[in-house]
Amino acid sequence: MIVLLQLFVEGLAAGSLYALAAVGFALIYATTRTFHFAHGGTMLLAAYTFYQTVAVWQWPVALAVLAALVVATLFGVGVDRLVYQPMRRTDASFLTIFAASFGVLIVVTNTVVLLFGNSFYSVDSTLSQGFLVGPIFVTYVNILAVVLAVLLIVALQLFIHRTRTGVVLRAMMDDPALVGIFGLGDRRYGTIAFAIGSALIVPAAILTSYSSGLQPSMGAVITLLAIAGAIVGGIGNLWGAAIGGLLLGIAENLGVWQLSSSWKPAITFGVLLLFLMVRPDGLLGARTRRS
Amino acid sequence: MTALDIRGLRKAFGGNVIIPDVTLALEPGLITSLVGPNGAGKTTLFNLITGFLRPDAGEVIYKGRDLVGLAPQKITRRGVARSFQDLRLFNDMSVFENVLVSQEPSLRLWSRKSRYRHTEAVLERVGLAHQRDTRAADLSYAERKFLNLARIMALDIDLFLLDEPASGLDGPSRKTFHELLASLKDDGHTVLLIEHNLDIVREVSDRIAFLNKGEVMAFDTPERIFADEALTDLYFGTAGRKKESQSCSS
Amino acid sequence: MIAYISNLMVLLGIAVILASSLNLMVGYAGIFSVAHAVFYGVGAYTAAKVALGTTDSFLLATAAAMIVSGAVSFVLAVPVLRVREEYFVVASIGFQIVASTIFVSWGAVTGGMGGLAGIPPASLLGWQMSSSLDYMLLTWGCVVLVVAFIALLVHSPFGRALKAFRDDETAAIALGKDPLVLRVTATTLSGALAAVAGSLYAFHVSFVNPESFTLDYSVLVLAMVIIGGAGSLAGPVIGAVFITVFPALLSFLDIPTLYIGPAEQLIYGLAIVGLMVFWPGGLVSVWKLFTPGRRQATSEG
Repeated sequence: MIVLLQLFVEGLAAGSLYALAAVGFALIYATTRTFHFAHGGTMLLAAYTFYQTVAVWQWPVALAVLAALVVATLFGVGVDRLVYQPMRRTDASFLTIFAASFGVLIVVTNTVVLLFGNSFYSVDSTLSQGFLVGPIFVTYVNILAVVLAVLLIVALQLFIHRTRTGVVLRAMMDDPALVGIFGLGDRRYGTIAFAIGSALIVPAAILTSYSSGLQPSMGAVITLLAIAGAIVGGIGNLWGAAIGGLLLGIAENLGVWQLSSSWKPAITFGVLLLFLMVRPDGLLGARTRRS
Repeated sequence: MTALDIRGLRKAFGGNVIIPDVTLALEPGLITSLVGPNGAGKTTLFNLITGFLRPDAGEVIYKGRDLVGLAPQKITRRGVARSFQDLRLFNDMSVFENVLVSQEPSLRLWSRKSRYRHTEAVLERVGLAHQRDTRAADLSYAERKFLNLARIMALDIDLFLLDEPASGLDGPSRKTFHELLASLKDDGHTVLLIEHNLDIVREVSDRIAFLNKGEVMAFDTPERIFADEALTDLYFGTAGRKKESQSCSS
Repeated sequence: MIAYISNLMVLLGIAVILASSLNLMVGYAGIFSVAHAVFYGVGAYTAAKVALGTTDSFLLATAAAMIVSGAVSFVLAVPVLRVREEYFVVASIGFQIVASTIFVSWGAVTGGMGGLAGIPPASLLGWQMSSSLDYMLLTWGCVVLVVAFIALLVHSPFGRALKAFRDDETAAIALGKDPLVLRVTATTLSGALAAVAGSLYAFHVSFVNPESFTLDYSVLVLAMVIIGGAGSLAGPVIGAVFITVFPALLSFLDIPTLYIGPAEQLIYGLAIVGLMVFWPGGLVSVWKLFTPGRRQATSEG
């Protein structure tokens, strides 16, 4: 029982980070209808930037976080400007855009491998430590993960409901037709969506560096988790993506109770497949079926 | 005995009720024109009948069974097919392939010779045999309209739902088109036609169903519809009455 | 020398079969999959089991491999394709990762990390394979059959229906074509054909283990299709040649072995991005720019 509770706590923390990744992906998809498969690459770049600045160059943490944020945002915006937008101008098909996104992820992953090698890095700090709450061990990273996720997701919701820019983004999400013909210049708003979505994944990248460490393969893994979370939650819905990510994190970690941790992706896939079969619209999504 | 029995069909989008209530009994073996002002819901009605949209209420009875809830491809297989106002031809395929692919069963490694012969026969009938190897995208406007008709004619169906199939055709082409529609009737098929063009409506229809704001205002023979001044005023305008004074076929 | 070339040709032939069969899904049915290595692997493991347990007959082992692989494809395709084919990509990645885990963990059937070894040489209607040359002949015999079959499919009513779907899906549905049936069939055939490559691999190398059937390899096969040009018969062949030969070219440059793998993949990634942005038709379409086009149907003006 205690083991389950411990796993649940860890699942909550991991799920919070997945939620951030999923919400970022969902925001980008809902506003620009781009299946930003390279989203995991954003996380990869952020994490390795953070590692390089904080562990190798010994920068102060705040500066390192800033560096990661800058790199992630520039990357997200860059891919949109340099890859997706030219393709949308030539009316490329969904799958062609997806293939390009996929290619970008391959480029990023292998760039990281060439620069850092395939081995596993981690960042040490007091954050990896923790304390006991009853019989459960909670690390500071765990707490930070949940707190940050909640704060940022709530902040995002406030943003899209209260600010001018946010309302425009929300309009784009509600009506896909706006995404082509928006007179105010949807390219600008699409870029903003990419910037925000990419920035959201940075805390996940940094906290993962502390808890699970860094590996080049995590780009692909987090992409899968982000997309699965967004689908399970109901693609196009931000709260849904957050819940989806959280659900997957909890499910993955609870699964470890019976299965070895190498089965974690299998659990994610299992949950995803289950939803696709039984409730393809996701938990909170709109109709997905073709009519 | 009706070809198609539409009862109490209703469709709303959000708060907007496009089709409050449509009830219509199509008579078999006749050409019925569905007319009405823009936005009356004619294409929406087609979408509802053929499964591209799901109605909020109502039934569409064909050969004793309700079509509501079935996927469009299944409805076509039952014998009810529709064409599109914007044609939707297979632009990268040739004229011959367009007609061939519509009628072939898809899980085959080859088609029987009879299918090829049937395709050629249909192309002869619509007058496109000489263009059989031309890419659909390279056809003239009129030829594209005829190909659109040819594709649906090749199917093994009883009920044709045609959405403005002859719009934009000039005099001679239109006449040929009418003859084709009439020949469909001769084959024993039933046709429901969305049309704006008065001449076509007048020349070809056995019945006219007048749709306004998603409801059937009138359903009768052309003579009686055109004799109703209020109706012709509402849609056809005074032009309707002027033309109506010339003799019209039924 | 002959052995070296024969060996390379076998691997090239296997790549051509994998790329062509994946192209059936990606290029013709419009379904992206990053799980092709799974069907390759399932085919290989099945053929291995047959060869180790029952008979060394290539025909029987391959038939069994095709049936099992086809069944697995079918089971994956039916639930996922019912919703959105875009989700198939994501599901396929997950599927690949799970399959890799199963290949490693299900020791009783797959032999775990070590895999299955000691596969006897293949025999085909009395002809007992022994040398690399034999396998090369067998492989390319299979390549011809597979590509010919795919060509047959493409020009068949099935191929025409798929083409209609690529052209205008709504119109195809209105004419009575069922999208699910077509896509599931394409996926199942694709998986079954990949198993042929698996069987060839198992007999040629005489052992199978999980390392050959990973996500990385699925990505590589997809890269072959995309770079070569999806939706054409020649495209996957060109892509397979490019990706099989390219590493050999790279070896002339003095790059430390540690870097070769990632450097290759980096270049493929760049190639994919570049091609998708400028020439989505792949290398095949670039080549067509330089040769006078022979249009199948030309208009009179």
